[in-house]
Amino acid sequence: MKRASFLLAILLLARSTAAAAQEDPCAFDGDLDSYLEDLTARLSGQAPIELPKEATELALASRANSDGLSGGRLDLLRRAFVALDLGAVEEEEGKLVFNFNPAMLKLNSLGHFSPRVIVHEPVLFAAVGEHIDADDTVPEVERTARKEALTKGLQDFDDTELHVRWTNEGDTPEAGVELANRTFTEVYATAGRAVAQDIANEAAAFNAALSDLLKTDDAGAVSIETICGEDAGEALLKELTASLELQVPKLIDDLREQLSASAFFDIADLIDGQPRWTAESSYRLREGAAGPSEWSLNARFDIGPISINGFEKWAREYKKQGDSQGLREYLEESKLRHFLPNFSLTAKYTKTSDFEIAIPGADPFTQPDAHALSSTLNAGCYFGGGRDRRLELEATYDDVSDDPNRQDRFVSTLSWVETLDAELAKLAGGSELVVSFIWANKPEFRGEVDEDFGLRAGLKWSLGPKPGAGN
Amino acid sequence: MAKKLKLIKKMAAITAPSTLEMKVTKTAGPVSTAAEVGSTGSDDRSFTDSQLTPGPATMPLNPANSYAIAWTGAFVKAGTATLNVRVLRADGTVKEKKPVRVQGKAKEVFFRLVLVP
Repeated sequence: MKRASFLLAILLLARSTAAAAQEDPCAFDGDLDSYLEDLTARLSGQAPIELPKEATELALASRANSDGLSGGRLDLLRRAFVALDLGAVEEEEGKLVFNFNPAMLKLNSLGHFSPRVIVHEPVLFAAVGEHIDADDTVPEVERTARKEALTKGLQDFDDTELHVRWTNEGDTPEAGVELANRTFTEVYATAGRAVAQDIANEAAAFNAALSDLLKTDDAGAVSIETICGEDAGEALLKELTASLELQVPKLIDDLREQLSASAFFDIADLIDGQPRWTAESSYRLREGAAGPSEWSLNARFDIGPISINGFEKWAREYKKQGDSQGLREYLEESKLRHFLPNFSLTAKYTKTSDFEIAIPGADPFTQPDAHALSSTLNAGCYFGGGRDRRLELEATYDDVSDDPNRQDRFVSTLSWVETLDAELAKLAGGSELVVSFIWANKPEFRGEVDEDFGLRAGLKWSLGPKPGAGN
Repeated sequence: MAKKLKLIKKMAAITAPSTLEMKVTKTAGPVSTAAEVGSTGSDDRSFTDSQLTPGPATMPLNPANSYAIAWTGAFVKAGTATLNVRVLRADGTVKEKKPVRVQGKAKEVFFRLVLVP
């Protein structure tokens, strides 16, 4: 027994020594500001992030010497947009997105608007390319030349899209933000402020001592190598590091525990349950060989059993406070809280215009106009206690005029989603087990299943990550 | 006389108090934060989220003291929060600026430390 204890002590000592060696602050490559950011991020269980360059810098550091989206007129437009502070410009693969500043619109009473203009890099319409390639009576060299001739005729603004998104609430409702801030301020005053103030004072003393030692007025800009080059500097740094490693994790744990107890994190369910209308409309104007123009309208409604509106109404009705105490009572009283059923209804309509383009040395390519209508009902709830088990229903109706596989098509899927624990997930090769019952109005729409229940229905199972896990 | 005035101006520039300015900007969330400014003197200050967002929250800096900021926050839902720290000279020009950004998931609590130059 004594020998086992002795060996265990040696093992623990070796581990802690190894750990201390790994955390040697003097091994950090960078300045003091970066070191402190890295250290506190690590103690908070996060990775530090590098701030991106200002949008202006990115926009102006264009690929002036390469092909693509940095043509003369486009570059001029981009610079003017940024210079006039109309919003932000983002460059994504194959497109330039001009996000207008919604605050400019000042339409708060009508909801939240997010307008943007997307300039796509114009490319030869895929159907035209396929049509040319399908003609095997023509040599490949000639087919390539025809496609190149059409592509050369494309200009900067031949594929431009205007997109507007509107919600009645915004994705982060103001009332939810206010409730979160009130609750956090209340909890932080007792569970975090005193410790944070002590740490700030200790860091201020460290700042003073280091600035005196190194004769600088910005100790944060000094490299760790320089600081550790002085014995006194190294000692100060190690002392502060040790203090932070002791105090910060405890501060974070205490604050998290108190915030959980005050229902702060449950505000997420109230936000998700908030009745919300969302509408998106887009018009994509294409010219020349870029293809047909297209417009679409998409509307969606979401609602859940508990919401910010529900909490405020309950507080008024029962004359309760809108603070964390009131929030806890509201959640306890909500019978559906543990099930959290939610519903959403989506409808989408797309109209594509007819299209005709002359092809050098061949008959013109034509494509008639088309429309597509789609609507989806989603509903889901947790069951069995906790958030590990969920029932989800999805029912979709499609009618696409130019796609025989999607005309008058109705498919419904009822799924049982079981979240696996870490060990089981590792064994099974996926974090979720999904078993779905599928029914379609026509046999050809049912799709592949693992177990048949007639021509129109079937059972399917799969293992995978949580939906939206990559978002 | 001109020499004396020049000297007075120089002294004023060295000893004139500067101002600490803090602003928090956020995306998605909600995320709530608070900041404590620690000092080697007796002018510690606390700032709540409503003072920091959109801000600016300001306080005078005594040139005889040193300062540091402890910034704490929690995420209800995923998002980002950025603390923009600026030190302004007496004439309003920017002496130094330091941004710190945190990206968090739902239920994450964070702590960051910033030394004030």
